Amino acid sequence: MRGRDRGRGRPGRRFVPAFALAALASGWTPAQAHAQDAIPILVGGAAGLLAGGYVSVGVITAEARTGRYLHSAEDALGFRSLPVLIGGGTGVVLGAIDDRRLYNAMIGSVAAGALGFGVGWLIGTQTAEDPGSPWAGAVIGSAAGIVLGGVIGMLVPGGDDDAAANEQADGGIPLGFTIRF
Amino acid sequence: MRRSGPLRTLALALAALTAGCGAQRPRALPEWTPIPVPDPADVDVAVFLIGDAGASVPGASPVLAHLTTEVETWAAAMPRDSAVAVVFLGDNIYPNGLHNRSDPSFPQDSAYLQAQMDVVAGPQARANAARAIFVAGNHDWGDVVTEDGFQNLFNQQRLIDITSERTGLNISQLPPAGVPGPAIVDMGARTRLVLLDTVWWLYLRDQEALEVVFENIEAALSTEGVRDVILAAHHPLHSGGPHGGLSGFWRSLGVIYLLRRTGSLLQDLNSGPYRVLADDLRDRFRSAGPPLVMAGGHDHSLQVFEAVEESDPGFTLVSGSASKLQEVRWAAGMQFRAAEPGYMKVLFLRDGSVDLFVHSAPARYQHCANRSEERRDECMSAGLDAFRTIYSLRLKGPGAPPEPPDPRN
Repeated sequence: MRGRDRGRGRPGRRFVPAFALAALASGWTPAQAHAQDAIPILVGGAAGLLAGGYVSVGVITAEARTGRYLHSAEDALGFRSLPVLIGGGTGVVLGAIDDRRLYNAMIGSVAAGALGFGVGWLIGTQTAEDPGSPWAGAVIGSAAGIVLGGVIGMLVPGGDDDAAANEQADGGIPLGFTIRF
Repeated sequence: MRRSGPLRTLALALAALTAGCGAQRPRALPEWTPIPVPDPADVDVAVFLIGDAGASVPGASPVLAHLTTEVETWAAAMPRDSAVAVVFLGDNIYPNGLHNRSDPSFPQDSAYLQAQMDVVAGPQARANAARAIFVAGNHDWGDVVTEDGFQNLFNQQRLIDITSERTGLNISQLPPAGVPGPAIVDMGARTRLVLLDTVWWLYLRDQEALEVVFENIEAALSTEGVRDVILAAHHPLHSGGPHGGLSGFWRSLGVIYLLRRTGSLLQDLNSGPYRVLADDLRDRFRSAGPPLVMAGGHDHSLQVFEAVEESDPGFTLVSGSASKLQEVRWAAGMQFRAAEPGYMKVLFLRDGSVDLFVHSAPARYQHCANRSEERRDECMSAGLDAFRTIYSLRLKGPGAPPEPPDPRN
């Protein structure tokens, strides 16, 4: 018999102050958040939420493949939704302190996620015969790719832009960030 | 810093990746010709199939009101014991079954069940012992495997039994709470109902008990003689609704779409346990012969399927739109679909023919609750008038579709 986690708060909430502290420790303060600075923060937050959501789906899918299925939508809450909070928080912090690294993380996530999707799909077709298996492989593979690609992209130094950004931050020169579609 | 190029490429790639995900080719359903309603003198047994009625407020459900009228009509036209039966195909109490009496939800839970029990409480139904059978659905089990949910299932059976004792209504929960079945009910000369609790299959699945269940299902299917079998359970073998995999990609930003595609939702037809359930049943059909009809609810629509595989039942009926509605799309073997509130009627004729009729009203007449008494009466009256037969099919006998080959041969 499997019980439901009733009445407990969402454990991810405790990470929100941690993200706030990390942001403050990095030297970023709300006073620096000019209108133009808000764009990478918003982009980072949205991308992080999406990526985290996708990783959550990957976690749920991996659990289901081991026999722990979702009974209802409520089951998706709790620790399974942690990646959403972590992703969103990381994206916001990254957007606030280093938009070049944010960009690298996004590119890394998408590229590795796509690669993981393909590899996972192939593995899924080889390991089980049920119609959901390729999809499960693809989702788990791409979720892993998103995490790996994002982390690696985040750790890659920003190069000239990074140095320029640091210089700007030291000198108090406002950053510019433009998105044109 | 300008990132417009790469970001635009990223956005376009993501859009291209997701654009086709929710797309589905529309498929036409086969043409059909209405069949006449037979003379009651030629009918041996009438079985009504209705599912997922667990959010029906007493006195405010045109579906249950129309079904009550039909039960009265057929019970009066066939004045003999138990010639009319109503099978409630599970999810009889939303959202989590019948809570304990001390729980604040109890009055509403029990009202939902009372609305359904009242279907066979009319004078003709009582006089002729028209029968109501309640099959358990996942929501009757509390929708999760917990002791509370299990208790709620027992509570439902207890309320049904107590009501039967106090009022004399011919009502029962079959199989009994916590038992997988099969429960067998023979009606008239030509009809056998075989009832399963498929939630037990998905939630508990005790392998030792399962062997006995298999033997009993095979016995129920192979000892029917001249009787045609309706196998009734909450979970259907085919569906073009959400549990059958239907999900638009952009709803919930693709989350539900992916969870359905990957078979991660237990209650979906492509989840591991559900596939095992379907395979188990098909194995029994291969060895003992498939039933004429397998009826279920679960998805909130009305659907009719012909056999897709040799081991499929002759017809799969999904009747789960009594109190909730969901979209439904084409699926393999589908003959008919409608996302409207309603129910199905299967008539077993004395000459061995079997006819199916699907009755529904427009979606706006799903519920008439939450309005003034006067407006509720208007809604109920208009809802009853709006009911019509939206599909009919001869399932067996002259004019019926050719029977699939017997998998035992």
